[in-house]
Amino acid sequence: MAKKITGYIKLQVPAGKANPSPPIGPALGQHGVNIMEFCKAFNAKTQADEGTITPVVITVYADRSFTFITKTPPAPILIKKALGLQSGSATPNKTKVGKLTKEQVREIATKKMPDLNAASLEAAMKTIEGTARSMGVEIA
Amino acid sequence: MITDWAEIACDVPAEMVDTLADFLVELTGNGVGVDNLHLDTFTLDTLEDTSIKTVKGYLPLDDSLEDMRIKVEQFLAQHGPDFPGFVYTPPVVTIIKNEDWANNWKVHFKPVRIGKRLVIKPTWEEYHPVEGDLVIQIDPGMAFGTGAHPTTKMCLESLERIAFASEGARLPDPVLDVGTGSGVLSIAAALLGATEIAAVDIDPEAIRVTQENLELNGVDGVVEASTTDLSQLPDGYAVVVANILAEELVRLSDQLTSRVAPGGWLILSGILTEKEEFVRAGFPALELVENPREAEWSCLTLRKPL
Repeated sequence: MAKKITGYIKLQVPAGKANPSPPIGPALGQHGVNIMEFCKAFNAKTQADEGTITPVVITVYADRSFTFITKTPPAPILIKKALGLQSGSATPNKTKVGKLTKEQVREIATKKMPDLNAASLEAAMKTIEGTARSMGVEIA
Repeated sequence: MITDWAEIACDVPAEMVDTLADFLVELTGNGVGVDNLHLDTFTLDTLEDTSIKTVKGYLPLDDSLEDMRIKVEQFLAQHGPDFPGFVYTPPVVTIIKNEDWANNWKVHFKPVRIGKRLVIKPTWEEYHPVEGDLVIQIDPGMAFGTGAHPTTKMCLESLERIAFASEGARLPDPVLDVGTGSGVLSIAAALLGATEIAAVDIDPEAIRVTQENLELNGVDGVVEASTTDLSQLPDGYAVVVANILAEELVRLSDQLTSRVAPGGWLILSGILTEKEEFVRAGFPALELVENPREAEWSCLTLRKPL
């Protein structure tokens, strides 16, 4: 059934750990969505990557039913994973915390490609390189 | 015990969202909000992405707030200039009252009366039926909302009218519910007196939910829910109801027409009023009995000649 869309919500929440506190509670609550049902479904779907920050896009319909899709983890998460980093540099211009090879950039860009607004893999790689630099990560 | 929350909102270029979100998650230990739009549309295709996004981080309200706010300011000042289009604006802190978010959404769902006798109520609501009420219990969730959506509501009303017009004021057997979703129409059919009902859906998840709802309403003995393809079902249903989509209804028109017994009824719903003629034209062998409309939706009740 074609249903009227009344809400469109983007969040980034840890996989497998959704609960009714912010950001989920207030974001979905104002649309009158069954919050526990969302949490259960999201946690079931993302259990395998527990703890990894996962972007999720929720569409709410006029009858307050909803659907959601999860996306690939954000680029900073993938960059930290590739380099085994805990966090990025607090002063990215001065302190460098690691170095990504072109191949690693290509791998991350390929993984992120479906979710990036990039016209080509090269454009996606540029975006990833920009994100890396802002974290104090150099490109080899 | 958490009392209230602080929301820290920052306006940044879209390219900076992931970097800032990563920082806020590390800082607060909680997820972040990026977009929250209130819309009134049938398609997201026309939704334009904005170049500036508001990223919102959340932390329990305590003495650390000022310290956290300064850290966010420093992060924006330090990292923002790396992103084209960045203009520094100080983060905005808003206090959010702690609420029972897990339960508060339920205020949006109240028992609703549909037609003369049917009442849909969520399981948690108290409802004292008056004589003759037929109460359907369903909890809204992913696949199903209030049940008061015009497309569902018009099907329920049509089923009730057919029941009233039939022998013994009972819905005649057998009944077929195509695209059952939550099973609400099959439950209504059972409450309206039908004892032989087939509920089908192409989605196994819908059938799982339907089965739960059938049991909740004590009608699992008279409704058989399955993913059986429409083409595999027998002909000869006294009532067929299909609340799907105009294009799907027309695509399935031959099969739907053939499943209806001579003298039987076919209720078609999920039709935008502008597509009413298109759907009507797809069922030339059947007579139009009525076509109620509500909001932008139409419902067609057709009958096969004896």
